[in-house]
Amino acid sequence: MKPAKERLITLFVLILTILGPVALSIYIHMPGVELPVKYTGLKYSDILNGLFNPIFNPAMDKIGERWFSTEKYYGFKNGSYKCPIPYVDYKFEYPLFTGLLWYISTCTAFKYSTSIDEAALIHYYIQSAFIALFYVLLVYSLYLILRDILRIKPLRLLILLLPSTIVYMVYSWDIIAASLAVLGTLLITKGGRNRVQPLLAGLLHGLSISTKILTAGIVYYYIVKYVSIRESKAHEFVLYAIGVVISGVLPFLLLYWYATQGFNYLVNHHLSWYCENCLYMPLVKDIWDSIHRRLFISIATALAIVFPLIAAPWRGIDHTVEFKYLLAATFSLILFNHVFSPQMILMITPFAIIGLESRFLVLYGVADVFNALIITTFFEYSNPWAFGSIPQYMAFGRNITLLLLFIYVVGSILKDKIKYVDRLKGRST
Amino acid sequence: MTQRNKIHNRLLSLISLLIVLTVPSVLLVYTALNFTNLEIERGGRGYITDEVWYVSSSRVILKKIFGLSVKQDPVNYGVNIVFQSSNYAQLTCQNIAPHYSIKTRCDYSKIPAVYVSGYVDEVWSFINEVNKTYPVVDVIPGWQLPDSEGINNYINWEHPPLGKYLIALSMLMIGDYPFYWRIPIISFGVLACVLVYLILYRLTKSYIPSIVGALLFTIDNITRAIYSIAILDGFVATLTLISLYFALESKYRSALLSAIIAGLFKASGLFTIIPIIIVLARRIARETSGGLGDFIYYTVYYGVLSIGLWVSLLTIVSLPVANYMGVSEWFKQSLLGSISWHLSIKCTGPNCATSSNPWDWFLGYHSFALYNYPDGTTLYAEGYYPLWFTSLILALISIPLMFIRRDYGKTLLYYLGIFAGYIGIWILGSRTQYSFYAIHLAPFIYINLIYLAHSYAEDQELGIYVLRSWYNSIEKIVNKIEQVLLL
Repeated sequence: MKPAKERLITLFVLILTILGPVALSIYIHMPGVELPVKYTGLKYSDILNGLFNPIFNPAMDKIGERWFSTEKYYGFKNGSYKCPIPYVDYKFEYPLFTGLLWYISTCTAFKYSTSIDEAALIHYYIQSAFIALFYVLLVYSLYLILRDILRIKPLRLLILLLPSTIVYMVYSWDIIAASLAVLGTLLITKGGRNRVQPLLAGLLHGLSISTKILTAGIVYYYIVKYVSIRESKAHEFVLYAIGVVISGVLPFLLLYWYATQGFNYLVNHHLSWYCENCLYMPLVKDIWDSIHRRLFISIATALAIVFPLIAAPWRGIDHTVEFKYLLAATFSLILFNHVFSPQMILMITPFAIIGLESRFLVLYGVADVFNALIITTFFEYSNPWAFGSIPQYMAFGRNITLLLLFIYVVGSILKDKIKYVDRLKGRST
Repeated sequence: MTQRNKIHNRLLSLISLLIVLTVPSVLLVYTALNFTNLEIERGGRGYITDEVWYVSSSRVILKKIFGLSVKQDPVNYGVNIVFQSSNYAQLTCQNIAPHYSIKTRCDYSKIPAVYVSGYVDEVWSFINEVNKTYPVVDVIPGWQLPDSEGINNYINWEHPPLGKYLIALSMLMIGDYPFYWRIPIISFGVLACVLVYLILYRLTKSYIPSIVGALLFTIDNITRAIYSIAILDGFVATLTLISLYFALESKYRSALLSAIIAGLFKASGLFTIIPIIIVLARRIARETSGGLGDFIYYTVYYGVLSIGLWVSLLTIVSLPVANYMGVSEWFKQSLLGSISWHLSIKCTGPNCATSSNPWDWFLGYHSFALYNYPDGTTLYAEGYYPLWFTSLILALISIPLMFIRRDYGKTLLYYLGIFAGYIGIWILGSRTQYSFYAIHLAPFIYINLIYLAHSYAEDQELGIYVLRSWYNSIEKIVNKIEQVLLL
């Protein structure tokens, strides 16, 4: 039994890490609320400014360009069509689970209000509720991993109090993707006799992909693990794979079948995106140059092939090492991506909490602060995308710090693998 | 091995060979025919990218140097008539052509020429008639010339003549028609795929990875494109593979000879000499226990010997060209001029073809546009770059494997040696290289990738060996630095 003081501290940490970021994030992004500090970037969110307004607000220019059908657009505009469907009626660049949450909040908002501002507020509240719910799940899953699997104190959760969590939580859907990925990981790692567990873990990981795609590295790790440890139970892998296919692959196939135009837009949107705060910016300063995308595709492919060949996970792998693998997998698709939007760091943070040693969490904190300053300073400069502007220096600081951490994590995994083989040899000889 | 196993093995070997022969044959013939049909349908002159230079010079070499005529169908006989000025060409089209039952092409703008085709006697009687009225400068039988100034005299002196001889031979034996020009390169392409298979089989002793490697190489964009058009780089790549095959058999003289023959198609083939010389010099240095000194001595020795052999063979195969141009002119243009051409910056600016650095090829960056399709899309000389990049990274990581797996060591030396050759000429001044040169590396990309994937997957300790080797090397370097700093 834990001493009362320790339990009290745990409770305090949990309450603080749950309530603090949620309340602050909802507060700073709430429409109509003026902040004590006048940084436009702090008020910006994809939920409202990035998507809701350009799609629905008639006051915005070029609104028609986002809609596939002018008939539907005018139907929506004159109030006869309350529930426009993303991908079908208008362009939507996020995957399906995000699309579903989006549809629920926008449809509810327009059913209950005819004023666009009021609808925006309802939509914001509903999205905040979704995000808060998934965030609570995330914190609790992390807590369980720290307590039951890593058997360490939950103080590491305090990393969630860093500014990026606050600035980017009620902003986009990255925290939902992270939450689903961590919950799935918890289920797999805890194991148990229940046959439903691998299926459920697969479903959660698939759903995470259907929220933000970039958590696909986690699924890839588990596939490689199952394949490389040939003695592992095949039925577990099959169940996990079925889960991933159901929630992470089928939705995309269905979308392609049902709304090809919307699917094509989703794909092309990401393929044609420029270098957004990307790692390669100091090397090639033209953000539209295809080299950024080429580098991402090439590096991600190389990591996906080289890593399993040289340092595949092994049977009976320690959880500490496994979490390093998961962190490296998450890093691979985000850090090397030609689009590293600042909110994406929220998909790395949970895996940093469980995968990094304490002393390196300090360095991660530095990256987090740099990251939070990207959007904070973004609207203060006329060309914030260009290298030389303050937001890009912040992105550079973040990227270099994360790159150092990535190198450390990879080096540490390789060292662990060598140690494992040595141990094995020692035992056999 | 039991009799049954032997039969089983032979059957597998036969099926594998059949696959690696059929798939590239079908793909390359299909691509080459597709190019031919597309060009004819759109009323083009039939040439794809640099074919304009190599095919044209082959035709000129055949006629002007060897005094031979290309094979042609007498019913559809074609001749290029070159005049002193474009006025004569226009007047010929307007005044004389309508009186003959021949087809004419009168849209040449950079060369004062007219292309006529029809029944052979009718064509020649037309030419005789034209010759009486307007001063005809040149008559070149065969397929229509590309629209380029002086193309009727162009012999592409900057590249050795063997590739052009081969294209000329196909014109002589089969005919002067876009698909026929491409038959030699298609054959070399099929041979290259078979060689990739054979080399991989030798390295892995396994059918599946060998077939997979050969097929991946075959379906790669750059392979399909370059081995379907009559340009020189594909010949070089195949001869390099032959050289590697000999090197793996420890037949170093044959390997060296193949590399030198590759250099008679295009000088870049000589990059293949780099790995052979290193292997040879290392082997002799080990035999004599002479260490680094012997290694350097034999590297220089074989280097000079190889270059000497190449120059001698080049002189022999170029005798007809030298005879035509004059020996001193040939020496000046084909030998000295060729070196400066290879090390020069060829064309820069908005109207030039996109050039690239050798490392760009691994990212599919700054790719050379080979062909613009009628639907607006472009065919680029670009491999499946994520796999290329991965192959290079794996190759660099796997350098320590060279010391425990000799055959792979030779393969890796070829891969990195050739790449080093392109980087070398870049350093020396060749800043405008084109991505189709990368076909020279393409087979090595897949041999390396598949071999390493197979080896690491089969033997998990191999990865540990590589990691440990790097770790030890880095440790040694750090220790040395520490020692130096402490001193």
